[in-house]
Amino acid sequence: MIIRNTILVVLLLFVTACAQNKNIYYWADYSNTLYEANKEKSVKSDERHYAELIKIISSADHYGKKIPPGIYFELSMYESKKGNHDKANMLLSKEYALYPEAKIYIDNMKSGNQNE
Amino acid sequence: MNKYIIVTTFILFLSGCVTTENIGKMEAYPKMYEEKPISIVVLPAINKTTAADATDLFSTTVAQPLAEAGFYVVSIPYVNHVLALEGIQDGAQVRDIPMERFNYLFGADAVLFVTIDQWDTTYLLTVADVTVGLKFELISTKTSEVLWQQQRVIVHETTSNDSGSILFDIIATAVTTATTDYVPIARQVNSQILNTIPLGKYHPRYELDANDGSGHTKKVKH
Repeated sequence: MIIRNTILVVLLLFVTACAQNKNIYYWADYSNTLYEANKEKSVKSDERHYAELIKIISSADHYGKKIPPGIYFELSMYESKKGNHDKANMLLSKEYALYPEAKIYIDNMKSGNQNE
Repeated sequence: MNKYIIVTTFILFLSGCVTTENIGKMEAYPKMYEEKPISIVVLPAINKTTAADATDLFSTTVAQPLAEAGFYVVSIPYVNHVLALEGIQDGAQVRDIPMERFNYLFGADAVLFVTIDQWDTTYLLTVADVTVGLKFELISTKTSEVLWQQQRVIVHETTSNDSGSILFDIIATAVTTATTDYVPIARQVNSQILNTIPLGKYHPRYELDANDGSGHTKKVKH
């Protein structure tokens, strides 16, 4: 009985370990904080999502995962809204370095930052 | 008695003749393998239900499974922002816009249209089901052709913990479901559907999934 339970636990651990490692990217609590920010539209929920984006960028490496598409881009949207255009452009360049296929809309966004 | 044996034999014979086989992704969606789209724009969902929240729930949970399937997902908050400036709130208003426009604006190879047909919660004593009906269509920005599509009704069961008292469980279920966190449900439904899309270039199994299940079956006669 004990052996059977041990086997079961080991098997379960193995299965969950497999399931966790399958993701390509580190997402933290991305969909939840984005949903809350869309639903409530408050400074608080906005800041929580901003913090989540920073967390994804700083912790992805630690979890051995990549930074998902669009995360640097979304963060740059926050920075342009605050008027930090240099910082926004720096973040856009980082998005481009990871995902060159995003070039067209990154360039559109960069020219928007220059015009303002 | 003899009649039963004959009927049984006949059924066995019939089922031996015709079997259901899964159609592989390559056979079901050949255009995905020809065009190899990388970058995808997700449009705001067309919501045909009374659940006002459904569009938001969908748009905040779709990026994750779509990116995990190997695609570059054009930042959804940015797409929604640009479309809102044009007065566009959902994909239905976009049908008449030439698809190349999405390549010009966002550099997208394909556009994902989503229709939410159903979003209901049903209570059955101690169990509550959330039924979600979704239709996904991926359209090429080069040819305007459908590259991949999938329509599903998914039932998600939310149950409260068994307390030993049925009455308590019924109340607890109603309370849990009322405040149910729909975000994980929406994400799960999205990933279940996106399971059938031929994988994109950031996935380790890119171009190795031709024979994986496409979510479609066919009857084969032997």
